[in-house]
Amino acid sequence: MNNQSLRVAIVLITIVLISIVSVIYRGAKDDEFIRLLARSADMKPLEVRYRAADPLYKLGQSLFYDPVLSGDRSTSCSSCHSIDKGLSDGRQNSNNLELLSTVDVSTGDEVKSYRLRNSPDLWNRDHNDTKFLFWDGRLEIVDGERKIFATPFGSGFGDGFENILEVQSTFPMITEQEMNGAANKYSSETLPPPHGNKRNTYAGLNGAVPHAIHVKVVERLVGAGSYQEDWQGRYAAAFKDAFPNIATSDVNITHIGKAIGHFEELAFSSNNSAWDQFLLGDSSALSTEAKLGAKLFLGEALCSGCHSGALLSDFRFHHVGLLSEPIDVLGEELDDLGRFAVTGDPQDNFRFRTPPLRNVALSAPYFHDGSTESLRDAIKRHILISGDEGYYDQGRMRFRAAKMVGLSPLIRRTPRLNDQEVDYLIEFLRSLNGEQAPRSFIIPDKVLSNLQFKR
Amino acid sequence: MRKEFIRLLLVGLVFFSGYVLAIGVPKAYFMLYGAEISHAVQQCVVSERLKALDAEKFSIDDRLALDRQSRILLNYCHLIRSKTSSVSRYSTLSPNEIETLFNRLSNPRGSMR
Repeated sequence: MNNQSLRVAIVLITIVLISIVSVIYRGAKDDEFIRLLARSADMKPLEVRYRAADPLYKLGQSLFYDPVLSGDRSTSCSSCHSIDKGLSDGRQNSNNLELLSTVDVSTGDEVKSYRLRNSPDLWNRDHNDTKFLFWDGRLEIVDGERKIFATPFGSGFGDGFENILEVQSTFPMITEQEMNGAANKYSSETLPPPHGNKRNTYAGLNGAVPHAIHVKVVERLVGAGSYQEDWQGRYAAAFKDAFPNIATSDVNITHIGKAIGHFEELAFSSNNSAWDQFLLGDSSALSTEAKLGAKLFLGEALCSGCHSGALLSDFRFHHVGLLSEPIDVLGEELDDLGRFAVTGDPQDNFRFRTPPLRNVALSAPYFHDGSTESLRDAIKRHILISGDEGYYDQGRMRFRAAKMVGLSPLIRRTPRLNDQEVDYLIEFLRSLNGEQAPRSFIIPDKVLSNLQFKR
Repeated sequence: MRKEFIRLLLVGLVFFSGYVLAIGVPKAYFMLYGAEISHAVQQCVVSERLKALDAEKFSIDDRLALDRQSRILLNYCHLIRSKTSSVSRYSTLSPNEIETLFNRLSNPRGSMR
């Protein structure tokens, strides 16, 4: 090789090297740029939790999966929060309810009806960002330090509980359509002894005093007075292990709530997702498409206004234009008014709590009414709401302009996205799937009542 | 005659260089950074559109979400501006001017939204 060829080769190699370095440099700057934006949306990586199956966890695990907690011994927490369905249940509507009521003019009696809502997932709900639970936020942390909670049952209901998960876990037993069961209903004859054909001792107390129902729940679990069946003895022993300083006769609903809440904290913490790893500095954790999706999510797609914070929810209430079919109660069409049912403020009509998005790809269907099957449709419905009335004529949903008063300003300004951009957003949402505890840690081999349960 | 020709040629070269510097270099720069500039301007435009909502009355929750999103978009806009200096030229333009510029600079197919 002569001198001239050598010079040309050196120049070419230098140009190639400079190009490679500049591409890497630009890529690195781009990644840092996404991290900066994420920080401005308060998005932080989730901490990895230490998990140990202590006695309180074991008790909570059995209570979470045990149908014996329900009035007719048919329904457990896992019936609507299954690990196989992303801690929802895969159904459009479950028993997460809004109570509707109207007055029968002929008799003057109040007539109650219930609207079924989609079962919300339970991932990472112990996080400090969680301020409200339920789609309408009927359970609220008023003061986290002093452990004061607002519930539909008035002040004092949450006394003794440490966190919002503990309080929430005691709600389904109060509601007829969830775990309380119908009045005069007996458990199925096919249940193994001694659970078959037992009277529902919770029924008839519905909606009266939650305390009265909770007393029955405790009686059911550990026996009343000196009488205990074998399985109740196992529960009494488990309470003793979990709360060594509490006599069986002093067990109450807060102990049940504490155990279930503790189980949910550890079993349903999910972290170290690709997004978490990226936020912690590992740029290779996110694909190029997911990074483009993150930019859209944080930028012009306007998602991060509401889907902010570590769990990607502001835990506040917005009207995003999703109107469920009204239900007919005595000829009157009643809408699912969301937050209004809690506050009574007409400005809160059709507002629902922003759902957190951790593991969102696992918990279809979406929205409070479970009306959307896929992430793609969920994204598209955010985009189409303000502009495409025809979209609503094709499905169950109807676009009714009068009910769009109070529509979120961000929804009003959401730009059209093309299919490729929606793909990028989906990739970003998939990057939020975190690592989960092993199934063997979450699901018990059997529950203390020996009843069959949904996994 | 020959000197005159060389002088004219040099003058021509100076003008040509000026042309290249004035028009060609920005064009080349835009070819390199066009996507980012367009993206930056897009964030600025969306940010301006949100600003237009400022005067309207919203619930506290909506106001917080709007303010948060506006803040993120402004950061987006400013961060890219500092990254691609040529964009700073556009920082003093009105929203309408930015939008017009955005439409002119962007690839027509890429700007379909």
